[in-house]
Amino acid sequence: MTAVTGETAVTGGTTAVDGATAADTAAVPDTVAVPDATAGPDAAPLRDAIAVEDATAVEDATAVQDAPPAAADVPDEHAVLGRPMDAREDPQLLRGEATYVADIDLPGTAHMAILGSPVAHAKLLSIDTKAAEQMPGVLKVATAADFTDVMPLPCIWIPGGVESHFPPHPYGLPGARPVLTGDAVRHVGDPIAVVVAETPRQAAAALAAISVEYEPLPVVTRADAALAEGAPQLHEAVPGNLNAYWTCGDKDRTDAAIAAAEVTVELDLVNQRTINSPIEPRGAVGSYDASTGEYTLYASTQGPHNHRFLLSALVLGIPFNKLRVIAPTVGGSFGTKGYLYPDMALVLLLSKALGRPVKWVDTRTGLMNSTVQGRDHRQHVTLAGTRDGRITAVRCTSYANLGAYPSTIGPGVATALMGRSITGMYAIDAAFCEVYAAFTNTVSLGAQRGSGRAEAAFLMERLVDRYAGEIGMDPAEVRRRNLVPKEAFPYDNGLGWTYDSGNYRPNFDRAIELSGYADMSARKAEARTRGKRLGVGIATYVAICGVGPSTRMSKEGMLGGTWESANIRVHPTGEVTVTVGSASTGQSHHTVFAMVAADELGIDPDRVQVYEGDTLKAPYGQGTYGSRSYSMAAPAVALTARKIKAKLIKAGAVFLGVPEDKVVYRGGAVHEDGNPENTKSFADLAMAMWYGWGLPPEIEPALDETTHFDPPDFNYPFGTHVAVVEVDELTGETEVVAYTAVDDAGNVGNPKIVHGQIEGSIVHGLGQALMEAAEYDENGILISSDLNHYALPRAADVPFFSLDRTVTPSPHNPLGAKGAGEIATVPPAAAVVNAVVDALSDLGVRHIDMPLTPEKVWRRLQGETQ
Amino acid sequence: MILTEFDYVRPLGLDRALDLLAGPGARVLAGGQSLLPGLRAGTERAGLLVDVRHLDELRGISAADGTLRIGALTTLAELAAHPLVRERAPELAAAARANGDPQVRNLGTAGGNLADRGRPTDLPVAALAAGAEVELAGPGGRTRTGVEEFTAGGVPAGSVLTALLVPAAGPAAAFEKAADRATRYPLCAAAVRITADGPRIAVTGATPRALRLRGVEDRLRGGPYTTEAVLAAFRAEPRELFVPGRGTSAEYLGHLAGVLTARALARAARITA
Repeated sequence: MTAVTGETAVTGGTTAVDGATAADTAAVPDTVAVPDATAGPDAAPLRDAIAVEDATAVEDATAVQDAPPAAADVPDEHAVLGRPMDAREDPQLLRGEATYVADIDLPGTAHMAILGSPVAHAKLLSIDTKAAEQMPGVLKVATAADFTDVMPLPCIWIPGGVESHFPPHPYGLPGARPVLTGDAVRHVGDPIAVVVAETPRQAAAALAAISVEYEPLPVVTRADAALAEGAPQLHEAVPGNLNAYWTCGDKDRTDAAIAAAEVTVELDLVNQRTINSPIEPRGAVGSYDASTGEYTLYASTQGPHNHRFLLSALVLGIPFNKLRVIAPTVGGSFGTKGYLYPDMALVLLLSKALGRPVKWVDTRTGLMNSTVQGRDHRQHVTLAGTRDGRITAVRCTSYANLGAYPSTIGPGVATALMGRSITGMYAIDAAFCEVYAAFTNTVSLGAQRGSGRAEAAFLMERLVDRYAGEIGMDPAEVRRRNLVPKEAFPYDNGLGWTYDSGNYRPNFDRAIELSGYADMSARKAEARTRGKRLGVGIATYVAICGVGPSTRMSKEGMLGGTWESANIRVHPTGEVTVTVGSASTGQSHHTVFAMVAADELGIDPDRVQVYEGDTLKAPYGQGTYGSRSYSMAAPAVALTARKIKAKLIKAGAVFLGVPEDKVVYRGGAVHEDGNPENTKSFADLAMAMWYGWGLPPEIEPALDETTHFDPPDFNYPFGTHVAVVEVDELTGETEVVAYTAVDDAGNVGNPKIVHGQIEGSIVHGLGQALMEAAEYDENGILISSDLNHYALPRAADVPFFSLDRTVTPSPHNPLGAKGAGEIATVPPAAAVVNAVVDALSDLGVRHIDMPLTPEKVWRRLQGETQ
Repeated sequence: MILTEFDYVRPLGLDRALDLLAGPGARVLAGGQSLLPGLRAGTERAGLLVDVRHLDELRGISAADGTLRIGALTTLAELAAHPLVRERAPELAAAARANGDPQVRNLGTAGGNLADRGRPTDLPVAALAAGAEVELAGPGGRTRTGVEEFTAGGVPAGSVLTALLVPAAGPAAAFEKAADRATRYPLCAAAVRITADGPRIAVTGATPRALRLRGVEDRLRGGPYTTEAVLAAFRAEPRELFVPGRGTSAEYLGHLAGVLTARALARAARITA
């Protein structure tokens, strides 16, 4: 069932209003009188905004829905989730008071600088560090020769089910890269040597004194070129630079459908490489305690537990319990900080060698030459269909550029995450995707917000518009005719994904309505009087999230578990501490996980503290990525709170002196059914459990529970976006003048935070469409290596957004949640390119490669071809 | 990158500042919005920074004898908002307003923007269209130089730009800009001022430095300033006048300069009428 919430109209600067509506979409009027949900505790609870039609399919979520409305002052069970609460993290972030890695100053810290290769491909003939060792303040200069007993970083997400080739690792795993390269350099920035000195400036100055002799090798920066005969070879163990040839879907059926089709359309697409630009570059502090033999790593990481395992067992070869990893506040990530990087191992190794803490903090240019980059597919895509608008087949051949070394999970991002996603919201009888994943002399490829799914949506949504143009049908109507119908869920898309739940038509129709799509011809005519060409572009998507079911992921090539966990302790005084295995990089975990626990326990969220990010204090978890925290970690919190509640009901029976089935848990207290006078408050219960007096043998004292959550399958959020652009006829400048997004992330815990994620995601996607591009020259030098050369969207570059959400709960977790953090990054690039092509369609323009720079568009306005 | 080491002095008066600037590697520090990022990136060098931010004699905006005197330390935000500037040199106010973002405008100075040699900036075209002069203080005392000469040569070594002197000619002037997406510096910018002798037109970004385009002015003298006429006047310029920018061709920038000029002229003419 899908409900439409009224997170209405113009936003940005103002707060969205999230209104309670009826359970049935059909009954939802266009305009609903909405309570002011931002008003705080007095606002009506919004749980009833969330509707579940099929109670059996969403068993646990149903229990959530059935909660009665709460009194205004006593938080009841389920009175908290769904409320747009301010993030408790924000004040310290906004005031600059948060502690990032760069703020960690341990006594006696020495500073590391890394010598990155200035050339993209060369043999290393010699490295002379003598002069650098004599420089002021220098404590140590190290090269690969100093770390012969250190293993290479591993790669843990490989293309599933196919033969693949990697650099070696002594454990027989796929290797990624050495901590320092000794034989050759394979991209600009490839780390060759490190200096540790008393100050950062001394360390940086000494880098210039290291003398390296290079024997230049030919350079290749494109995946298709790297696979050509005679291309430069990067790795001995990877013949022809081919990491893997990976496919999904039914090739024969798809080829046959295309051959027999009434209509076929084809496009050659470049999904250009982009650079992740979190406001905080990466950093690492290593500290070795010789008295205990324990290492501590402070790092800007999305997955402290995961990195602890990989670093200790697979890189350093030290006992797991001798390494502690701490993620302090992390200033954004967008995928980049889920990866292992050489510096993480180097600061630990050098701290042990020097007997002092060793610190390294990257620069912006350093980030751009070392931190994983995103997208980078070159594709030939084909769509087949009937004259009356039914899509019969889609086929994609993609060349994916993995960069010089596989990143920790890069190969899986470039294959499964993209390939299995290409059919999107559409029911297509025959689909096939093949990916050639290749190594080139560029920075390693990894995730970037929306990774894989954004590339998939781009090709599909470009094809649908191209097809609509070919058969002369309204692009909205073509989409409507091909949406997966509501009755088809769970839906097998034929490429390996089984969509959990969906109701696409109301979502699609809401976006079309909200965008004013029907009135576009008048608006186009009006724009022409101002010298502007107005275009409108639609893009829909389904974005797999909630990684995930561990066994399923193992079949997908993931060499690791993907579950999450949470622990809840109720303290003697009735306050609660939640610890989780995930680690926020800006997603407001402390706010939301407190809300989840408070919602289940029926207590005030202010009584709940959340801790995460320190492997010594937090239960195990696999990290924050792929929009998984609210559908993986939050369910673990909810299930743990239910264990606490179940125990309180058992204990309550003892304390109230009634049978268990006469105990009612409500508003954080227990009382005897029918006799509210016989009651114990949450704080009283907490104290009683702390004392443990009078408990029967089958009830343990204290309230301390843990849950490890591994879902039955993924979840599949979806949505429809509509971009309206104006192209300046004289200059080719493209302005996005209106943008509508109707997303469906299932049940939402804190609409305010999701709202912010959606706005940020859209801006991120618009950046790729309009301005972002990692450009390498023919020598493999990254031209766009700082923010003077790499354009990022600013507030002035984007319009106010019209946002709404539909709500289709997932059956795969007890909150009915779906991923939200990155989903709205998936469609904007396609929506904007569709809109610009629409604006130029009467000139015969059928496609323009991103980014849509003014000159590129101007040349098309002059009638030039791409 | 990490900022390299340099010495820093905050002299008590302009004379002392000039003494210090006579030394090797000395640079003037005013708003620091261009110099400091340049030092950090390694594109600028300085052995000594001479901080002039507190020298009141370089501040202030005043009008006398039909001329606006704008102290070099006037911030871009002040310039953009000042009633005298908005009324009598609107192209200059608009150019200041088009600069960077609020933080940059609150710190960046008129003098720094005019003296920046690294890349096209906003104020020089506006000053050219306005027919302005700059006042320089050097070891030999104060001198006045036309902006056209100044943009060709820059601030002489050992000198400090002290003020911009702008003929206050009323409102028939305008500025248009296409900003570089990454830096917000002009990809191309044009400024015009319509005078009794015809239009004065200056562009930057499309040309090696901010230039007055006398050929275009001659072709447009007497009007009309239709887009077609302005674009034709630009097309008649020698092709080699226009140079490629970062990621943009000379052909496109030459065309863009024409479009921006046409839009500025249309706006200036509208103000006049």
